[in-house]
Amino acid sequence: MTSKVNALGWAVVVGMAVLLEAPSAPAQTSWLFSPYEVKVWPALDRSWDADGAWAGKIERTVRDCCRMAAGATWRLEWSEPTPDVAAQMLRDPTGVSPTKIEQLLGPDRLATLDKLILLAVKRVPEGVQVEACEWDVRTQQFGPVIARTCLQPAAVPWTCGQAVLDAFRPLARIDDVTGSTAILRFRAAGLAIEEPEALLARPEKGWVLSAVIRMNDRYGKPRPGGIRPVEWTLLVVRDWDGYKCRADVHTANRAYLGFRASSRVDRFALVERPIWPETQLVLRSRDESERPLAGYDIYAKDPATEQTEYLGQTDWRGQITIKPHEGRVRVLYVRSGGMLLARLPLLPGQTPVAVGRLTDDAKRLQAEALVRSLQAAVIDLIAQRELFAARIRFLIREKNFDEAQQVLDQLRALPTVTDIRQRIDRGRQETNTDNPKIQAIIDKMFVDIQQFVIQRLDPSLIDRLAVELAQAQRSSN
Amino acid sequence: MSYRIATTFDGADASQTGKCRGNAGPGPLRLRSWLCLTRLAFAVLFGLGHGVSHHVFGQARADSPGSEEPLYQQKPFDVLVLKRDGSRHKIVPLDVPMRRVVPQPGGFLRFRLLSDPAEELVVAWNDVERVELFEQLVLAEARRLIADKQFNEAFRHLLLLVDKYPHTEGLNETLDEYLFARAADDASAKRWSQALSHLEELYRRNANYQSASGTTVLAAMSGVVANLSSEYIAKEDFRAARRLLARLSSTYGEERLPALAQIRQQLVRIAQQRADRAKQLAAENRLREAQQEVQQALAVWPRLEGAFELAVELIKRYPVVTVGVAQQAATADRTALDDWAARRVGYLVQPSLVEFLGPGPEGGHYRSPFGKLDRSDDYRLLALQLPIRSDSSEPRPTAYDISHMLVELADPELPGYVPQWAELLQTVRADGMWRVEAALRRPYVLPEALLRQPLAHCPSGAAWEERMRVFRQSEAEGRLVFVRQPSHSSSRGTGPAEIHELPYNDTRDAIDDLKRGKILVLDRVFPADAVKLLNSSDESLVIRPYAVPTVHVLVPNYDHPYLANPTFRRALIHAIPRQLILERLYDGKPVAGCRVISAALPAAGRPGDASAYAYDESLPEQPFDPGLALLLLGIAKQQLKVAAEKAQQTPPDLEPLVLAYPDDTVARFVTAIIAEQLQRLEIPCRLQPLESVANGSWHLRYVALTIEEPLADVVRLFGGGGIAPSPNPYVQLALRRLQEAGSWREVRRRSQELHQVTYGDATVIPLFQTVEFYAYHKNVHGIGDSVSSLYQNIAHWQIEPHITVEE
Repeated sequence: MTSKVNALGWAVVVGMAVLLEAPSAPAQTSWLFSPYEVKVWPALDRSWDADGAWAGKIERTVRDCCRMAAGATWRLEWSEPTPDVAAQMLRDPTGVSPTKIEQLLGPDRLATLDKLILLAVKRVPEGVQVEACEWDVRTQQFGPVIARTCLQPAAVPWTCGQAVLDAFRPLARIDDVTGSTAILRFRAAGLAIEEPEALLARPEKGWVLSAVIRMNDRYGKPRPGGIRPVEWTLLVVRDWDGYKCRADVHTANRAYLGFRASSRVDRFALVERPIWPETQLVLRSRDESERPLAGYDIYAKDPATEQTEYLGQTDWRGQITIKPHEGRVRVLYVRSGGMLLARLPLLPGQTPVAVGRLTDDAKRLQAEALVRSLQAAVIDLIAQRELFAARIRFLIREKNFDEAQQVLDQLRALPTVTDIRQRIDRGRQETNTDNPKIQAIIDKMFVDIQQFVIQRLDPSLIDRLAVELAQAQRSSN
Repeated sequence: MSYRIATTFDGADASQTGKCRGNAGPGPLRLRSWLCLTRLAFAVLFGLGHGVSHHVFGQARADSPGSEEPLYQQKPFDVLVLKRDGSRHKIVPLDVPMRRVVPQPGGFLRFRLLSDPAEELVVAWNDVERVELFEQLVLAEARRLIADKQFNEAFRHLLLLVDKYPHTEGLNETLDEYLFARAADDASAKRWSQALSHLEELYRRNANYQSASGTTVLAAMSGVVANLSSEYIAKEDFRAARRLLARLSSTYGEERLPALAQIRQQLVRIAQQRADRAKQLAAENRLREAQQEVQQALAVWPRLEGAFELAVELIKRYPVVTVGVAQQAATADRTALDDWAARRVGYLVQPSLVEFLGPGPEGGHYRSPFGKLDRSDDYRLLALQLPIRSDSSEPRPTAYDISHMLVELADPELPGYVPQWAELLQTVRADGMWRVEAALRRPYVLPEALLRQPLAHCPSGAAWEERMRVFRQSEAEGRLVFVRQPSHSSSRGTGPAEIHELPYNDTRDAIDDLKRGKILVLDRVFPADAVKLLNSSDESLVIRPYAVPTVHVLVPNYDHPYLANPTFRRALIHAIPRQLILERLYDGKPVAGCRVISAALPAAGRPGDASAYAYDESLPEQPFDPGLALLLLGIAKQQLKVAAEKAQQTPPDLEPLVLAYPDDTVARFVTAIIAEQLQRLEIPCRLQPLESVANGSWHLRYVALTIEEPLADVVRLFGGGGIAPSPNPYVQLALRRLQEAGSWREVRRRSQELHQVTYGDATVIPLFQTVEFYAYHKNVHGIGDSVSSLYQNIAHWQIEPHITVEE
């Protein structure tokens, strides 16, 4: 009895432990210590492999490559997609719809799968083109299409293997973000014991990751529209301690990663690599018109060295080319006139085009232009007035009253404080905007210039000089 | 009359002179008195003579001839030669009638020594050997010098005689001898012109002169003339030879100078040879060379029979126009804003998609050589209608070709990329074979202004460029030559077959050559000369203003710390006497349209000038005020100091500004004054020709801009990659806003905004605007009354044959 009770008790305890641990222990354990579940869908162009002879070779070679490179951190599955999906893959792997993928995989497999790699092999005029593209199941994000061209058919299997490995993007979970530091745990990091596996699962210093937020329903499935890449946010691996990895956060807005991790919100990060020769940064206005923002100054700062470089201005399309910088993140500073508008972290080459949406600064800049030109006009006016005043006083001392009167008339003909203030008012009207924040900035500028004018331009100068002249004339008479 | 008795002489007692013995009694007083008187007189005279001799001798020693100064430079004197010892004594020139000395035996000669003219002396004529008059001495000296071949000195002596002593005996003969001797000397040294000149003078004086050797003056002249003309002909200075021949023929005639006939025959023979060669070349269709030969034939002998008619015929068949230019073009670029010469030549050799004809009430007038341009009322569509039928059987571009050109101009990968056009162009459609429509993304009032691009700038256009090009450049020494393509023969046959551009450093020489017909057209008349021509009554020339004024500015190099400061730039504006420079350019009388400006934009030349839509007249031109300039300079220095302290750097020193200028008369003139004025205000500045300045190492660059269409051209001026790219974001914003203007009202307002921004920023240093002039001979027609560039209407030029021969 006692043994039965003990056994039952242990069973209960173990069962409770299992149940209690079920949400976390399997997640933590499976996250770190279970391998990536990777499925490869191959699509071979029948005009190239009519008899299917290459299919087997490619599969074997890909498996070998993955075994060599990933070792225990991957569990690879190989299955052919449906013909329609295969056809789409041959046209454009990223054109395969996620819905179709989910449909084909089924919910059970979806729950356990980490990565789906679409591998397409097709004939091109130059030879054989291999394209591999990863679809990350958790974040439902396509990775970049890795394309390789082979001249020799015999090189195709090996190329496929390399393409599959290159298309793979290690996945990490963002456990915490404090200030500009994020704590990450990489998938299957616990299995990356030996060096070769470290290439794929074990993090490296300087790895750049993009962030994705996933909001789930109570069943753990993503809510409609609940998966969202965090724009203009990059994490750069700094160091790690065991399975905990620290990364620097570079973001346009700290609130982007502000979601707290909870049972319903997951934050993930995917490793990114520059595969394009350059990235076109495109700036557009945030409003409905999506106007290209031309003429904005772009500076790039290397967070590692803190060196800043002026890259140029956006052209009429709002575009500027950003070249890769030793594979490192560059923080782009967007300035308009004297004002910093945005800080945009970018990994040049990660994507061919990166679109930044900013508030259109034209009105503020226009106001600033007006204010600056008014400032210049006021400086010149002050100088002229002082000069004329000095001349008048000199002429009065020399008792040359006629010429003094002429200079006084010239002084009167100069713009007055009222004239300047009218220009300020006109400028204010021309630079009205609907954006309250911008309007506040513009209003402040005009207030400042108005005060500048009031402080610097003495409205009584002319009258005083006229009185001096009159007195001198009387004394002389 | 008083006279002095010499006090020192040999053997004579002073008491014996001048006074009688006192013991003479009353006896025969008269006799004794007479004797006494006689003895007294004798003693006096003897004593005087002796004493005077001594005295004068003593003096004469001091005044003896043999002084080193030439006679003609000495004070005139006569020479008294005494019989007694032949001594020569200089005396004050005798005041005798007609300067003829007539001895009076038994009488006395009164004279004064040259060394002591105060005392009058007397000598008996019996004691006088002779008196040598000064003029005779000079004449003798002249003769000696002539014999010695010291002609210059001889001439000076003779000149004195001619001037002061014209009646000197023997003077005329001596003069004749001098002239002949001199001519002979010149001839022996082969100085034929001088020899002739002397012989002609001799002939005038004495037509019958014959030398000692028997040579007459005419015979000598004939020989000299023959040699002189041979020299001219050898040097091919036929004009001089002809002039010589004409003059001598009219003065002397061939009978008196037989050499003249030979010269004439020789010239005619040479001219005929050339005319024959010209005919041969014409027969071989080598018309340009034939023209050169016949021109040379006429240069040798203008009255050669048939030569003039041959020249006229050749000109009609192959008109060659020589154009005087102030600056030779280094390249051809009809779109150049800042290179007058390149723009001019570009019109000849760079056919373009669209051409600017001239300013109009709303922007410029444009045309396309391919067809008719049309714009929609909403400014969103530009169409080009090509002619459906053509008289020529030559292949011509279709709408598809033009469409390709329009698309290629919007391709950033191609060298002819026009960013403004790329921004605007939405779609291009070929509506059939002969109509192209370009739809724009947004309204733009003058899209054709963006298409003033050479065909060579786009691959599709380059394929047609060779066919469209009317002239091609050819090589020649010292000038640019453009030859009409055979496929583009002038429709009326009298358009230029060749254009020669002849550079001139001094436009006054160009104007002289224009008047003489050596050149037929003058591209750019120096302003002061233009004023003179406008006011002259010379009806053989036509002078006209160009349609677009020239805007003169200084472009600052923003790498210079001071020039990057707007206050310093404004100081420079106030430091330059722009109105004064403008007046000096036009000799005090600037023509209408010339004015000081406040921005690098064309200003109104007259009230209501709609072409100056970009210029804000409400902004006053900054006055010349050195005091204000110095004040602003001080403020700028202070600003730089504060900025340097903030950045923990040393404030920059004001290093000398390098002012670069192109090789152009106006540029040299203007920049010299600017540099001098800046130096006076202690703003160090030195001038340097632009071609000698390494790229970017100038601080200020003088630029003369031709802004045909401000709306489109300001981007090429201030935009990235422009002539004066501005780092100022406000300027860039103003440029963008201007490009986004969708109506003429917005264009005017926003371009004036640009003016205001550049005014306050002093983005460039504006100087003034000038009206340029071109001039041409009345025999040239079709140039046009107010063109924007000289060769704008080259296809319509007609040349009346005009041959200028310098007699």
